[in-house]
Formats: sequence, structure tokens, C-alpha cells
Amino acid sequence: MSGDLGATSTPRLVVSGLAKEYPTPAEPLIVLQDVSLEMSAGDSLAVVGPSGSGKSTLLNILGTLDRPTRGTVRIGDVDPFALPEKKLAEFRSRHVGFIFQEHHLLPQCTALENVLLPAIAAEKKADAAAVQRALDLLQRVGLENRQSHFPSELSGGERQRVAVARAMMNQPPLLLADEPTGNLDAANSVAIGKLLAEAASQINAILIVVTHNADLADTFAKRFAMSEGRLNPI
Amino acid sequence: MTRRRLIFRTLSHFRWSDAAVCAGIIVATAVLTGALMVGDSVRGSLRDLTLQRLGPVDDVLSAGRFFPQSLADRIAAADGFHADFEQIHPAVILHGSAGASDQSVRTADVQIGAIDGPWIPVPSGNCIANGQIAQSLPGLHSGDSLLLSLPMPTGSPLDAALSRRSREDVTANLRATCQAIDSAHGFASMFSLFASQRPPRNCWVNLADLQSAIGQEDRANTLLVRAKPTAKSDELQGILRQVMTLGDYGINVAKSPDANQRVINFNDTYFLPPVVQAAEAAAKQVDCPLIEASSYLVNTAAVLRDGGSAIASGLTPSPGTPGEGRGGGFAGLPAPTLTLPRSTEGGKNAGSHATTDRAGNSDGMIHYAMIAGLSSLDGQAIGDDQIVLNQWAADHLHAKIGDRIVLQYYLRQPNGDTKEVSSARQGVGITLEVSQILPMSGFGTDNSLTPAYKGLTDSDSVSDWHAPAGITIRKDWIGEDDEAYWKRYRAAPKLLVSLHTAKRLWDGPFGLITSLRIPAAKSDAFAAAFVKEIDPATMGFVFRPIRQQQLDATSGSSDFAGLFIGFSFFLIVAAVMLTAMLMRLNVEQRARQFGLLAAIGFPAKSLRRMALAEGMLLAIVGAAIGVGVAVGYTALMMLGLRTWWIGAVGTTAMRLHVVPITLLYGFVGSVLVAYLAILWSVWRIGKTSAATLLAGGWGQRFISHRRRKWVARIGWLAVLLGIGLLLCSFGKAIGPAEAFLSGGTVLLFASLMLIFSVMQPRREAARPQHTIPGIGFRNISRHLARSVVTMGLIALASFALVTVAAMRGSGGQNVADPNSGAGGFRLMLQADISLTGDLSTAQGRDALAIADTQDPLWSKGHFVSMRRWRGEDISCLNLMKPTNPTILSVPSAFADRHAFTFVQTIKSVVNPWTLLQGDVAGIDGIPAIADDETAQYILHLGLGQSLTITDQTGVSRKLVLVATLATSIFQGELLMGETDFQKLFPAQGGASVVLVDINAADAPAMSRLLAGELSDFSVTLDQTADVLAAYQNVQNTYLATFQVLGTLGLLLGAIGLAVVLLRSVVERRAELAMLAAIGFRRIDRLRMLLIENGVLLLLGLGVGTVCAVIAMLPTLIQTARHIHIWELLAALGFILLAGMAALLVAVWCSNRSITPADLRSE
Repeated sequence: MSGDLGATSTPRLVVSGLAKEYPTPAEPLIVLQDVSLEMSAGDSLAVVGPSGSGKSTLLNILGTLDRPTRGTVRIGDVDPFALPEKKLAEFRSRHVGFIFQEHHLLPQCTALENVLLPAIAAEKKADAAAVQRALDLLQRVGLENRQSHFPSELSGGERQRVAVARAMMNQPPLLLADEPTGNLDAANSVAIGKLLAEAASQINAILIVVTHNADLADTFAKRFAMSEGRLNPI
Repeated sequence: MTRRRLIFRTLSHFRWSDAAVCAGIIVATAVLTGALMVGDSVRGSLRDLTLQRLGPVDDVLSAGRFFPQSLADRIAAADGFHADFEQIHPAVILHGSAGASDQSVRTADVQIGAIDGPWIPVPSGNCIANGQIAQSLPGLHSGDSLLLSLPMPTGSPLDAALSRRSREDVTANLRATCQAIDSAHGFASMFSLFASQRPPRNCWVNLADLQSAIGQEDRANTLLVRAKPTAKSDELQGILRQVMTLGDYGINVAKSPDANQRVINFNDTYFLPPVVQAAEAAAKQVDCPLIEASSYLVNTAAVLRDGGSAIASGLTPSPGTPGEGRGGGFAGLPAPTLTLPRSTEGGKNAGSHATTDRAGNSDGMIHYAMIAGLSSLDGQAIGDDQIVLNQWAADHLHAKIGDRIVLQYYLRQPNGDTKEVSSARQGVGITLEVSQILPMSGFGTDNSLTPAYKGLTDSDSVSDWHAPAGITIRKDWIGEDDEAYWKRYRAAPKLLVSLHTAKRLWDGPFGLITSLRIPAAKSDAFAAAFVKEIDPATMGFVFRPIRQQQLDATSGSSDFAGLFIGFSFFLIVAAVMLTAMLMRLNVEQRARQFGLLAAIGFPAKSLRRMALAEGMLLAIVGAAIGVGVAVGYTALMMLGLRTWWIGAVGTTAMRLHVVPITLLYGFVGSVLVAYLAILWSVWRIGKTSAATLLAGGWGQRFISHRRRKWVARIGWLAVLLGIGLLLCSFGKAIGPAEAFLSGGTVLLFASLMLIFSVMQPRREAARPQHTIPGIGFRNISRHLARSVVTMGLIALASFALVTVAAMRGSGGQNVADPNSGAGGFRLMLQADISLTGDLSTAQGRDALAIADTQDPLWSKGHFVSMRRWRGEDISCLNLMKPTNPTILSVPSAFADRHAFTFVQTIKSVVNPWTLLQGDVAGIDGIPAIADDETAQYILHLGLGQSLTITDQTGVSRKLVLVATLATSIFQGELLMGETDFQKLFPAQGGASVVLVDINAADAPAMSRLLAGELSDFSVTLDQTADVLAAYQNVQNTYLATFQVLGTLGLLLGAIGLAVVLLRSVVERRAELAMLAAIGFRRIDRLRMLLIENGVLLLLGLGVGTVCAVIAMLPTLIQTARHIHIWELLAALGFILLAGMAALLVAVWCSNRSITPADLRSE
């Protein structure tokens, strides 16, 4: 089920005429305008651009964390924004994996438990199979020995690797990473970048990475630049 | 890993902030449960007091009259008694005074009692005083001699003209050595027939000593019964009916002089009307004729000559001379007055043309003759306009059949004075035609028609008559023929009239009939039927289940639980608001977590449920701990009631009582309230997008202009609702206290809602802020809900403290003002032994044996005498629920003073006191007036509503409230018109309460004069200002309690303010770091923070104060009070200081250097 959004030749992510505006007393603040995009399973894409160009907003909308003002997003055959709130959350838990700049690990949960969170979101509890999958993911990111450690006991890089493992827990067809290396040093940045690519490849997911890191961006075959709310291929 | 485990993990991780939430719930639970437990504890303490007070007594018969004490033995020997009852003991229980034997110090309102049997044995010559007496008589020790003043039973109603009323007739003394002072909380120390938590003054003496002192040997006025658990009082009453004899009722059967009849007399002289009805029923039953007789004394009987238009010879019309008997004229004719012949030497009357005998009896006139009204004479009724003379009277009056007779006699006035009146006076107009002249035998000389009148019938001669006070027997009107008649025929009536005529001439509220006569042959049958027909209750012989009644009364007139919840209301709300705010802060600080979980796929509802579950776990733990804390809190409250707040309860017996079900109610209630608070806190989860949460905030929500207007409209509607609720108290739809609480609360929250709508952040650009204060002010809107809750905490505390400060009364009414609660009276005298004379008149003072009746001080005072039916104190000084209120009679002349201020009247009249006189249209019952606060809070009566009591003859009566007084000296009693009072309580003669109107300069001297002259009557003299202050003290004590709890609320508010400020600093650390980086000095940053939070403090203070003042207005207007401005300002100052102190502490705690690390998160 995970990662399967239809025939491999069919675009899994279709974005058409996406726009996001915020009303202000003067004129509306346009963050995104007329963004269109098509990606298929296994595609990866880096989005670069200056601060305030709308990169994170685009990612938030693609991840259904925010709603567009205009335009449509289809993930597979599904328009997630047409779903009721509860179904949207369920859809997100199964179809979207997030990696944030701030990792956002729950400080009260161990590394293993943090990885299990998406399973709990989807199924209300993590069964034995889920636990095994989480352990496998931790092993894949090289943290099998740190499963019972709390985030406060992990380095920045280790935390981000846990976040990557978490994002992959439900094998989502869409992986979104917003400045995943923003808080990391160069070595860790490279490691995380590789990890992301491998992870996406393993599950044949679409990977979109927003980054300032030019080195990281260069590792992607497709690169787009956000400028004044518009997405343009580089 | 499950969601449940995640919940517990989260609780553990955030344990410090969770502990703060829990603490808020603990406080709210402790206060709410504590208030409920205070109610239980007060009730439980009253119950304990009642059981201690009553000791072994379960049932009591308090007859109000004396009966043979052997009645107890006969009841005990009756069938069925020992099946349900264990013991019965006769007792004498009276109210009087006790003092040092040298009379240097004295205390009144003492219950003086003696019980036959083992319960309180006292050897002859001794007494046992309780601790209250010892407190009132400083220096009293065991072995000291006490002088007790007691009421002497008079044997006839005090209002009867011929009853003995002088000081030596109505008072008695008993000396006893104080064997012990009993201060323990037990039967001897605390016994009282009336339910009250205030300990009585008790003095127990030897029964035989007491009986001897009051001339009631082997007689008792009370029966005390110890019952088995299954007993019912009805059974006891049934047994009583079986064993009662006529002798127990004080009814005696004697032979008539000719032995053909039996004469039935009553110890109290006048048969009560229900007893006469019983006699009539008995006579009918046994089919025997019954003659009812009413005996009286006339001073003068005179013959009218010439058809009544002329004056009898020997009498000349004249304006009359003061001091002489003065007739009121003849009905329908111009009113000449009768001048009775003066005593002259040689028997000639000065100023008259009469020829008189040596006695001064003129032709056509006799003096000091007994007269009897009869229901029949020789089987025939006497005509209502007729009179029958015996031969002696006819001879001395020179009267023949057809002549008209006019009578002159004494009548007792309502104030106790006697006045000589004529039968022909206006309004009565009776002259009687001689219809028969009886020979000097049979009814013509029947001495048994006259009952025993002490001082008269027991004298050897007419000249030796020792008449009652107020009755003047002129020796010069007594001749040899009178003495000869007395020697031979004693008090045999010389004149006979119909019973109807007797009723018109001398009837009184205490009864008319002084004797009954039946044929001797039927006497046994009649006696048997008579005793069965008499309802013992009409004579006061009723057993009442005193233990059950007093235990029922422990539920109290006021619901203490509700009262304390009312006091604690603002504290509870403050604790709940603080809990909600702390929970909300918890939720706010976890914005990123919630954002992450939402991003991962947790639905909003699920997140809310998880947060709610966390909160509910805290609520359950907090409530459980809170219930435990509540026990300590309640113990502290009870300690307060025993000590600092003893003014409200008047007893040190308040103890903690824990009722498990109450703990459960408190727990459940607190969890529910906490649930609502937490629900509010977590509701915003899911309302903010995951993206915003991930960014670390909840977003700046801008509500539309339209929505802001709606919020404002709702706020204004709530303001109107609040004002409406306050106005409802004017229409009496709800009481002032309920209006204050409900209206005030609604106004508070309405104000906060309006502030919320005004301070909403606006999307439209506001005027740019370019000052530090301006920035501080703008920051209030950033977390508006938090700001408004903080303001609300301060507002609640302010509301409570301002109310207390403003409403606290100083008891300083101007008592000289007739409109004050004292009605212009400066002194209030209460007498345990009724005063049988009017202090306003020389005759009254003579009756009271005042030493110097001509002291000019007497004329400086104006005295109003009131009768009293002793019942329960219905003021706020008595915590027990009253069922038998004390009632005072209001003389009709009282209305002329237009004194006191009325709060409400059943109908609009110029003088509301007149509502007590005559029929009040539309009411079915007897009109009564009460103090407004007593009516509201103790009796729970509104205008037109009624209260049922049992009168002195055992009849149920409905008293209808027709008016209420504002904060008066009558908070402990109901007021009834004197005419109605005498109808209901005919045996309550004399005044037990006297109000004294005198100027301030003479008041101390008057007080000393009254206390000195009337000490034998067991008087207590209070200044009315002190009476009002005592009642005010109770209210002030309740206000003090409210103040303490309000101060705790202020503490919570200050904590809330400090927490908000500290939290704000932590949240905005990076922002403050940025300000520092760009050049804001530390003092600038502190100023900004202080302004932000200072505005919250000031706004909260302002809202609380304004709402409190508005909420108080109905009470202030209706009770004619005013706001104590200086106390109000002091309270405001205190709140301001407390709030500023909290702010400064918080600012000081947060005042540390900004580091580069703080900037990193920007």
C-alpha cells in the first residue's frame, strides 16, 4: 500500500496553479503564485531560493499542513484538501513523511518511540510488526544502539537521523524535507543528504528537499528555484 | 508504545508545569469541598450540642402552669409506659435572675430549675451554677451564696382586674449556696427547652426548696421523659389523657352551700374558653344542666331615678373631680357625670344633696358589692338588660322591680393600669332594670359563686381587704351593714346579671367564667365526662418530642454549606481560572509538539483528546489530593469559627465533622469543574494549522470587525442581564444576596468580555507605537486570553475585597432618630418576670413598688411596654432553625410614633404599624411584622407568606407577614398587634420588654434607676445601640470571613499575575535578547514588562471595583446603608500593593542578563 499511488508511469504528485496569499490591510501578500509541478514515484527534487521566497510554504502545502488559496494538489488520485479533517490527518500519516530543520523529536520519548509515532497516528498503537520496522529503520540510519536514548542524549546529527527514520516509518509515497541540514555541520549535512536519497530510493518515494545548502542541492538531478513565489526549473 | 503511554510520558516530562496545574485544582477542590464540609461540620456540631444539651431527655411537657407532681408517677404507672419509655421526672423550670447575696452584681435571663430524681440531684440549700453564670458574676466560687429571683405564680391571669400584681405578689427569692460551677458541655450546664447554640445561664436548685419559695409545694410545671429508641410521642400523649384528672388541670369540685349542687372552680380563677366548651359538651353528654357563672366586684351600684333622665338622689351632675370615679354618661343622653359622695363628718356628703347613712351609702347606692353573671337562674335566663338583686341590695338601694341600676367598677387597661368605669359609658351604655329581688337564701346568699380572691375573700372584714395594686378600697365607703353582710354571707354576690351582660361589662382575653355548677347527683358522671372532653393541649399539657424537634432544627435556618460556597465563590472561580490559565500555558508551550503530531497524522480531535486526557489525569490526582487538603482547610475554618469568627456563631463548640459522601460530592464536583477549565484550555488545539504550530506559535488570530462587534454585543447584553438581575431584588423576585452574587458575577464576566472585544488585535494598521509604554500596551493583545484571565483573577479578588470593605457596618446608627433601627429608643429593658405596671404612669410605678415614683427622671422618659411570648430567638445570633419564634405585642398607640423604617409592606399605607390593627384586607391569618433580614434569611418568608405557630390554648394559628423593618432591634422576634397577642396568649400579662425613649444625657441615670428599682424582676438593660451592634457584629463576622477568602483569592490573582509575567519573559527571551542587542537598556525592558502587566492589574482592579459597587447598590438602597469610602480606598490600595509586589518579585526573578544563546533561537 505504502508508496503505491497507481501505475509507475502515472504522475504521483500533480500540482496545478498553486497559489498562497495572506490578506493584509494593504494588498494581499502573495507567497506562492501559479506553482505547477508533476512528479512520479522515485523522483527527487531540490528547491532552492532566498529566505521568504515561499519554499517552506510550498512544502507545507504539499504536505497538507497548510491549505492553498488557489490551485490543486493531487497525491496519487487523491485531492487531499477535499478530504474531511479526520481523513486528511489519516491520509497524511500514510502518504507524507516530514523531516524538519528543527527535527521536532518529542523530548519525552526515546528514539524508538519517536520513530513509532507515525504508526501510532495511523493505527492508534504500534504493534510488534511496527516495532520491528522501527528497529530496522533505526538500524538503517545507524542508530540501532541508541533506540532507548532520549533526544537530549543524542547529538544534532543523530536527532536528525531519528527524524529521517520517523519520516519513513509508514513508507509514505511522498517525503518532504525542509532544510534538513540547516542545523548541522558539513559532515552531518552530507550524511543526512545521502540518507535522504537512499531512504527515498528504497521506498520509491517522491523526495522534495528545500535547502540553502548548495552542495546538497547539487546532489539532485532536478533543481528548482523559488523566486517571488514562482517555481522555476534551474 | 501506545497513545496512553505517550500521555503518561508527556505528563512525566512536563511534571513541573503539570504540578502547577495540579496545584490549582487542589486549591479549587479544597475550597469547594471545604465549603460543603463546613456545612456538615456546623450541622454536626449543632447536633452534638443538642445531644449534650438534652442529655437523657427525649420528650418534655412544659405546661406553662403548675400541676401535682404526682402526675409523673401516675404516668409511669400507666399501662404501656414502660414498653416505650424509661423514666419520667417532674421538674420546675423558671426564668429569673441570679446575683451575689449582697446584690452587688446580678445577671438576668437565668434558667432556674429543679428536677426530681437522679439526673441533677441538689441538696437542700444548695445550687449548681453553670459556667455562663460564673462568667456573668465575676468572682463566683463554690461556697458562695447566691440570691435567685423567681416569678411567683399568681393563681389568676395578670390582666384580670382582681389579680394580684404587686412586686411581692409576682416575685419570690431563694437563697442557695453555690455547691459547684459546672462548665462542662453537658446536660446540667447546657439544658434548655429552646434550641440555640448559645449556652444558657443555668442554675439548678433543690426541688423542694424551689417549690417552697414559690408556694407550689409538691407541684411541678414540667415533665421530662427519657424514651426508648422506638417510642413515639403520640403514645405518651395518649397515656397522659388516660391518667389526667381534673385536679391535674387545677379544676376543683366542691359542694355548694345547700349541697344540692357541685361548684367547679379553677385554680387560675378564669376558665379558658375551650375548657368551658368541654364542660358544656360533658354536660350534654351526661344530660345535666350546667350553670356558668362569672364573678366580679363593683365599686358602686346606684339607682337611676326618673327613668334615667335624672340623676339618682344624692348625686349631682358636675364636671366631676379628678381622682373621683367618673362615669361616662348615659347612652344617647347628654353626658352628665356622676359625682360620688365624698366622705364627710357626720355622714353628710359635701357638695351633694343626698341623705346618707353613717357609711356614706346614699339612698340608691351601695359600694363594694360582688356581682355574678349567670347563664341561668332557677332554670331561666336573666334578661340582658335586667339585674336581679338580693333583698339586702334592694333594701340598701331602695330599689324596687323596674328601677334602673348603673354600675361603677374597675377595668384593667392594656397598659396594666386600672380605670374606674361606668356601665353606662359610651360604647357600652348599659343600665339594668331590676327584674327580680331574691330572698336572702339560695342564690341570694351563695358565697360559692365568688372564687377565691387573695386579699379579699380571705379577709375577716371588708375593712381588712388588701386589694390588688390599682384597686382603691375607700374605707369611708364601708359601713356597718357592709361588715355585717360580710360576716354572715362573705362574698356572696348581691347582684346578678346575665352572662351576656357580664361579658359586655368585664370580659377579658383570659376568659369570663369563674365557676361552673352542676347538680350533685350528676357530679361523678359529669366529672368523668368533663376530664375526657378537655383537650390537654388547650391547657398546655402536650408532650413534645424535644430531642427530635431540636435535632431537626440543627439543619439551621441558613444553609452553612451554601453560605460558605457563597463566601468562597470568588476564590473557587479564581482557582479554576488559574488552573485553566496554567493548563493553557502548558498547551501553548507545546505548540511545536502539537504541530509535529499533527504533521505526522494525528487528527486534531485526537490531539485534543490526548491533551484532555492529560488534563483529566491531573484533575483526578489534584481533586483526590484536594479532598484531603479540604479536611485540613475545613478544620481551619472550624477553628476560625471557634475563635476569630466566634461573633457569628456564639459558641466554641464548632468542630470538624467529616461526612464521606460530601467528600465524594466535592471530588466529583471539582473534577467536573476542572474538566471544563481544561476543555477551554485545549480547545484551541486543532484550530491552528500544523504549519503555524511547527513554527512555534499559535498564530495571531485576527477576528473580523463583524465578529468583534458580535462579541461586544453579547458583552453588552450580559451587562443588561447583570443589571436586570440586580433590579430583580427590588421586585423581590430574588433576594439581595442572590442578586448581588448572580448580578455581580454576570457584570464581571460581561466587563471582561467587553475588554476582550476592545483589545482584540486588529488586522488594520493601528497607530504605530513609538514609545516603550506603547509597545508594552500593544503586547497585551498578543496573548489576549491569557491577559483577560489574569485581569479576571484580579477583578474577582477586587470584587470580593471591595464589597467587604464597603459593606462593613460600624453599627453606628443614630438611635435617637425615630427612623433608625432603634426607632428613637435609647434603652431596651427585658424582664424575665413580667412588669405588672406601666412605668409611664404613677399607678404603674406604684404597682411595681418603685421607691420614688416622683423622681423627675421618670417624666423625662417615654416608655413603651410590650408583652412577650417566650420562644426561640429568630435573629442571626441563633444558628438553629426556629419553629417557635419569640413574639412581642405592639400596643396600638405605638403607631402614633411613626417610628422605624419599613423595607416593604403588604399594601401601601401611610403608617405601616396600622397593618397590625384590625383586619388587613386579603390576608387569611394574623398580621405580623418582622425585621427584613430575619424574614429573608432566618424565616425565609416573603410578604403575604405565613408561618404556623401553636398558641397558648393549643390552637394552630397562621401568622402572615405584612411588613418588614430595616435593620432593627427586633431581629430576634416577631411583632404582633396587642389585641391579637392577648387573644393568642391570654395568660401573658404584664410587660416583658420596655423600650425607653430618653435623651442621651439622661440615659445613664435612667439606666441606673431602672436597674436598681426593677432588679427583682430579673431585668436586663441594654442600650439599643449595643443591640444593633451585636447583630451587626454577626454580619461583620461573616464579612470578615468573606474578606479572608477574598484575600486568598487575591493571593491566587497575584500568583497568576506573576506566573503570566514569568512565562512571558521565558517565551520572549529571544525577543528580549533582540531588544537588548539593538540597544534597549535593562530598565527599558523591565519598564515594558511592568507596563504590560501593570495595565492588567489596574484594569482588573477597576473592573472588580466598578462591578462590586454596582452590585452592592440594590442592597445599599434597600437597607438604607452607605458605602464606607475610606475602607473602600484602603482595600483598593491593598490590592494594588499586593499586585505590584507580585509583579516586582516576578520581574526581579526574570531579571538576568541576556546571553548570545538567547539570540540563537531568534
